[in-house]
Amino acid sequence: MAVTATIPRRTVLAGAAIAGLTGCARGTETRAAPPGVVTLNNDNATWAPGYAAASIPLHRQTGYRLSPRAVPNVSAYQQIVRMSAQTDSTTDLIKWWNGYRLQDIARAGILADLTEAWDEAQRAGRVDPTLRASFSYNGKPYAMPLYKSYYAVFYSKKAFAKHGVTPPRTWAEFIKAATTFSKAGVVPIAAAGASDWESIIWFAQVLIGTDPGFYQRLTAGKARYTDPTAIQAMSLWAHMYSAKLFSAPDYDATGTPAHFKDGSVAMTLGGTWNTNAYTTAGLTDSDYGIFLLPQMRLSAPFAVVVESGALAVPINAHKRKAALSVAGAWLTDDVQRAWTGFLKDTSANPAVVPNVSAIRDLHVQVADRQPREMTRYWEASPPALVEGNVNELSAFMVNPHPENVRPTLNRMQERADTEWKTWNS
Amino acid sequence: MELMTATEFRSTVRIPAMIRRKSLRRRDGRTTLAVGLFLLPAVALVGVLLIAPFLDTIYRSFYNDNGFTRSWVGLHNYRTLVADPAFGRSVLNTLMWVVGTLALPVLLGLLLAVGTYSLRWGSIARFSLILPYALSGSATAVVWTFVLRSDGALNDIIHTLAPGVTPPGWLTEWPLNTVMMILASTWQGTGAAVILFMVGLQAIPPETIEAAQLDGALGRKLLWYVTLPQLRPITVVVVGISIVNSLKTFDMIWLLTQGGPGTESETLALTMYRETFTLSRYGAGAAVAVFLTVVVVAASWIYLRRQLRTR
Amino acid sequence: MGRVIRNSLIVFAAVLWLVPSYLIVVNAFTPVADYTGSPNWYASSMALISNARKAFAATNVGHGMLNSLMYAALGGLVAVLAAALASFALVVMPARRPAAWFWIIYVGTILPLQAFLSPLFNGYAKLSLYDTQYGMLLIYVALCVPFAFFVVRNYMTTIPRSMAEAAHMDGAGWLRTFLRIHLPLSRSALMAAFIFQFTWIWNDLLFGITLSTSPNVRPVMATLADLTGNYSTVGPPVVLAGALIASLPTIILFFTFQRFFVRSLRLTAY
Repeated sequence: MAVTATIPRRTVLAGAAIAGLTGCARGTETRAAPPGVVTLNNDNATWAPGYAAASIPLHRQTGYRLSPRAVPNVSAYQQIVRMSAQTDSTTDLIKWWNGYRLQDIARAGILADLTEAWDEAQRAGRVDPTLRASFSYNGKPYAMPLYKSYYAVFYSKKAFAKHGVTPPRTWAEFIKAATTFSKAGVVPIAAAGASDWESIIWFAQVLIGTDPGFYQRLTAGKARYTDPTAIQAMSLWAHMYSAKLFSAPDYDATGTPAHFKDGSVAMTLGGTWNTNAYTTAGLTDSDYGIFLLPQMRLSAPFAVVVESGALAVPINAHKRKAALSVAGAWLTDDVQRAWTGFLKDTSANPAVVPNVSAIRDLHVQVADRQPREMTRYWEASPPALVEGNVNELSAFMVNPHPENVRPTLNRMQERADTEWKTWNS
Repeated sequence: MELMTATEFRSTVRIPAMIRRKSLRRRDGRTTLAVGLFLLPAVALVGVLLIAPFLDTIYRSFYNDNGFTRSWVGLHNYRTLVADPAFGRSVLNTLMWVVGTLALPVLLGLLLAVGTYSLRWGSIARFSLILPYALSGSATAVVWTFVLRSDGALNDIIHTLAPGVTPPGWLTEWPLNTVMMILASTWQGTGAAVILFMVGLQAIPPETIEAAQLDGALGRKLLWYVTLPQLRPITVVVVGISIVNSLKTFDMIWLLTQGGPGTESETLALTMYRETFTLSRYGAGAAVAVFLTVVVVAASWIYLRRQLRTR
Repeated sequence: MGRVIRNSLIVFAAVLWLVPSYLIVVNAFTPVADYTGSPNWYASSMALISNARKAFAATNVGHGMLNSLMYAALGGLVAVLAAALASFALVVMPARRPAAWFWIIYVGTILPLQAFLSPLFNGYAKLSLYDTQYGMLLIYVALCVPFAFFVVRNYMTTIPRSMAEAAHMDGAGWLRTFLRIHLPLSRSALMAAFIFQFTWIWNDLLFGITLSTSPNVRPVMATLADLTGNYSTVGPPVVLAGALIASLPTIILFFTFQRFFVRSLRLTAY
């Protein structure tokens, strides 16, 4: 049983394996970035061209370019940022959310104070001062607005033309239009949310359409989900379902461009950042338009939901000074023009509007009617409360009967009681 | 035909005493060192990279931890867990998954492996079974969402064949969604069982089969009395792994319903994920992880204890 | 008659199993502009290549595939080897308390993966293993050892002890017995274990997302996940095209090695 050639061969293989192992490279993007570059962590890989476009004016102004990194999953992204921001594996900049989500990490002391950048931006008139509050914790701002999106109704011009409908200006007109579509076999309002966060879109909308002040109090923990206003608003939502005005709750939003084009779906309520997806899918200005949803109660002040992402600087960033100067330069006209040129969305800088007719249209409507701007529900309350309530709302959307309204709201209030106590402790 | 143990072998062969002393069972310093070295790579890897972090997780389960600050709470996380109404549903779903995964992929895998083993076109048939296992999770998720959505392929078929019928919400009603996801998981997992059973079938000496056939055993008798006992070692693997995987099911549910609607189709693994990743309550998530691990270890122990035969 | 029934059942099962795979392929051929949210039942055009190109352009899938190839091949190999060594130690060699060692290694398959991502991340960050190929390889090997160990160990119990004893009497040491007898005899179990681990590592998403971010470290499924993110601008046809192309190596691997299992032993009619 002499052992001959096989052993040496195996040793060679083993040696090759070890050599391979030691030659394994280190990641190119976790060490301190090369000179002239700051790293940015975000949860959206498809925005890389936007960051690249914005890097050109940024480099001109600050001498730094952006090198974006993406974590494709939202929950994983949040965990990675929470874990890495406490170590030196963090990137120089991070994309986050505003409101309570920002407060959640700002209160842990891992973000750098951006008061200077905000003061400068306000002085130069580059940002709406009312936004500052939603980016602050304990009176100090910790992030710059990355973008600013409105939640408005996208509609299919083909469907509207075919059935003789024009963008409604009152709630009654809106319901009449939706009913027309429903009778004609077209899906009036496409609304997803059976298994994800989109269930909050219509929930927030019925609330601000009934009483925006109540919505603000509710999300600040000063009103209850079981109050009559909330019950009334949610019952309205349930009645819209009974009138068959909505799509099935597991609707796939990536199919909307094609549905708009062939007129099988009439409207959908969503953030204006969707224009990027629609344009990439081949929709043009003649295919879709945007209008602001009228309020449901005539006496209610006109309001709109606003979503504004946040650009923050972790304290442990390798190149903190560079990151701070980049954050300071983010809202300048040049950078915003390049950025929104890609994003095709409204900017936090009121002077910059991208060259998309639907967005320009919306911008005019907003300037015209001056709606009150409400923070999106996702950021308007403590994260644990929102995540739990998203599940409740998803379950409601699957079973949107009027009898389900009170039990759902009861459960949401129970959760609110617990979570507010935890948040404030 | 059972394999003989070493003692039986020795008793059938006469070995001179001198040589017999050099038996394999001698334990001395060199042998112990050799054993240690052979065990070292596996144990070191598992111990340092898997067990140590898990011990850290156990430690964490006694704290109220949000990723930034932590405070000792003792058994509070466990008590809250058990008191949570969603927990009961989570356990029920997990049990459903165990039963479904044991009944379907394992059984189907066995039958299909045995059935296609001697067919000339067996490898083609098996390919369609194994293909799903080789596909990535994202492709699987997309296609099953395609099939089970309200405007998906399954409802397409139903509308064509039976226009008046309103189909149920395949993914939006519990317990139907759990059943459908178990089917989707069966679609993916049967291939793995087939391969493992094929490996087991390969190990059966053909003489055994021939001898049994000469004795008159055919078809089902052959399967039950000869093939299955021979397949025992590999069956232990398949069942053991199925128990563990079904208790830990996560990917399929996360991709198809995210545990929804609400938390209705959550299993323990999803509850743990939700607490840890979505709500950033690391302590509570750790408690669920510990609970789940205890359950899985207990289940595996009960099954494997009788099956393990080292000598 | 019984055989006809059995064969037709098998055909039925095989066809049924193919339906979802068929849908994947067909819908990967759909151009993005035609995607209406409902799946297609037949390929309306040949847009697979352009869809795949979009997938590859939007993400670093090509680079990811190279990374995954290294992780899966090398990681699978090392894991199977470590598992074989441990199996041999516990089945053939006179180890003390073999059951205890079995459980120590086997418990690796039992642990819920998501549970220790956080301590692992922190540990990696402290040891500078975060976002390195070495780090990814290490965790993949560790994750694959337990299952490979379970498979190989059980298979090794079917190898007659007489062979090891004969080798021992001939004067062969443990290593030689392992390399010359047990390793070759366990070939099919080793192959099966390797294929499973290769596929598992190739299809891994969670660790790829959490422990790496650079394009030269990220495995393929993590790069593909960019296409299905929250604000994604691409629809399912592109995702499916990308996923199909990215799954080709595992599909080819399975198909090739399937023949390996059946080649030497052929049982006569049941």
